[in-house]
Amino acid sequence: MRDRPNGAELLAEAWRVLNEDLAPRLSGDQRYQVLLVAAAVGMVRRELEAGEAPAEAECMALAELLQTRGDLAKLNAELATAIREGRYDGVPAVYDLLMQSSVARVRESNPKALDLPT
Amino acid sequence: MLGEVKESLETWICGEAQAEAVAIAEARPLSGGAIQENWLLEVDVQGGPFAGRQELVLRTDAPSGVAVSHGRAEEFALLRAATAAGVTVPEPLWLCEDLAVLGKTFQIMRKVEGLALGNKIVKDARLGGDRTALAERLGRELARIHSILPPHDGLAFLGEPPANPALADVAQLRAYVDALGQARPVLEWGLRWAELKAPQPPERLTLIHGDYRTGNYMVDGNGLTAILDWEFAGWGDPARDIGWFCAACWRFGRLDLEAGGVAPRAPFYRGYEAESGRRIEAARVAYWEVMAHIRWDVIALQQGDRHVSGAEASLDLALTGRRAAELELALLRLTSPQNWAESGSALQ
Repeated sequence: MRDRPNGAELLAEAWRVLNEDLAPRLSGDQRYQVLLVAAAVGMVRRELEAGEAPAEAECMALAELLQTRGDLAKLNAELATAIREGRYDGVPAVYDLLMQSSVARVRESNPKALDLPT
Repeated sequence: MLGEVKESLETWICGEAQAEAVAIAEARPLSGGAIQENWLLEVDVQGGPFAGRQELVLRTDAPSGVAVSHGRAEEFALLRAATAAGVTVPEPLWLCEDLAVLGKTFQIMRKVEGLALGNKIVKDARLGGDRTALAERLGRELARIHSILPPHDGLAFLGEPPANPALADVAQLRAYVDALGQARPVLEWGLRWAELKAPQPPERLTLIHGDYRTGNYMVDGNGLTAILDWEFAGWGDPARDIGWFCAACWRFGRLDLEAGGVAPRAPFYRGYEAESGRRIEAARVAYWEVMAHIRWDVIALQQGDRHVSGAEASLDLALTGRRAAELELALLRLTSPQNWAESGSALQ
């Protein structure tokens, strides 16, 4: 049993220190480096919070679409091949699946990009 | 800072500059270039046509390459051709292919004053002078690049122009995806769209810069000072450069300013059309804007892979790799099933 603050809570605070305490006092390359570290810390915190749920949801959706079983890497490889071979040209169900898994990844990597207009 | 190579570099520059003596007063690495190493040299030259204090930039190849990036010798030839076409570039001075000097090929060009950081230029309106004038100038500069046509004596290393640039790109990008060894269904979705929607080859193929965007030109307080980063140049569809410049993924957050995040599209197009005497085909550019997202996505993954593979440990590269997700989301938004259903190629 781990104590609190847990990993995600620690990273949330680390992110705050980097962004709010350190970055404003630095300039040039040092500031840039600290902001990079903050971005990485934020990403890891969001990954920790999301846990395995996004990967499991993606795996289930892929298995249903492809009507087959396998791990995430295998299913994605199968989908990639099928798309390249022209078996899913513009198919809405494929598009929806790709959209969902992309949104889930952006939610972790850079949630700000979710709101961008097109 | 150059350590043991300082002396051999001085001797070499002395010969190239037809000088009596050369002393490197200062050498420091420049940030920027993710692909090659850049050094700023302050050099005291005695005698010859370069007599006096010279500020020079030395460029070498970096530890690991990306995609089909040209080496220094090719870059030197491209800068020569660009200079002759009236493009504003740093003046290429000397090329050294003798490995005895630095242990790798390098070229030296004149230092240009200014700043190229895309984020800064987009955010700080004091840079680059009047933004409408800057966009128009960037359009004119690009048209001059596109005035360089194959075949070209100094650019034979670029090979034959592709029969169909769009389909050639699809094939090249698929090969890159395969080389990454990781299935990317969204990229496949985009590449299949690009294959089906590929426009006919343009009326004429030209030199294309290959990475013409905000972040790869330099400005000072008054305006443009240089077009940089020629390592992806080749023969192709000139609309590819226009699409790359205008693509949403290269506007540094200013999505409303469609010409590279610095101005509306109109002045950029105006400058281009005035200089080239040719109309820009909007639908063709729209196609290449989608391709821009695909290409940038692939490059981001390659950069991330340089970190992951251990070739070059770097947080910057690692985080660039993680930009793939947002690029893929943007790519999907541009290629909805409705878009696929629209008949024919992107040009109808």
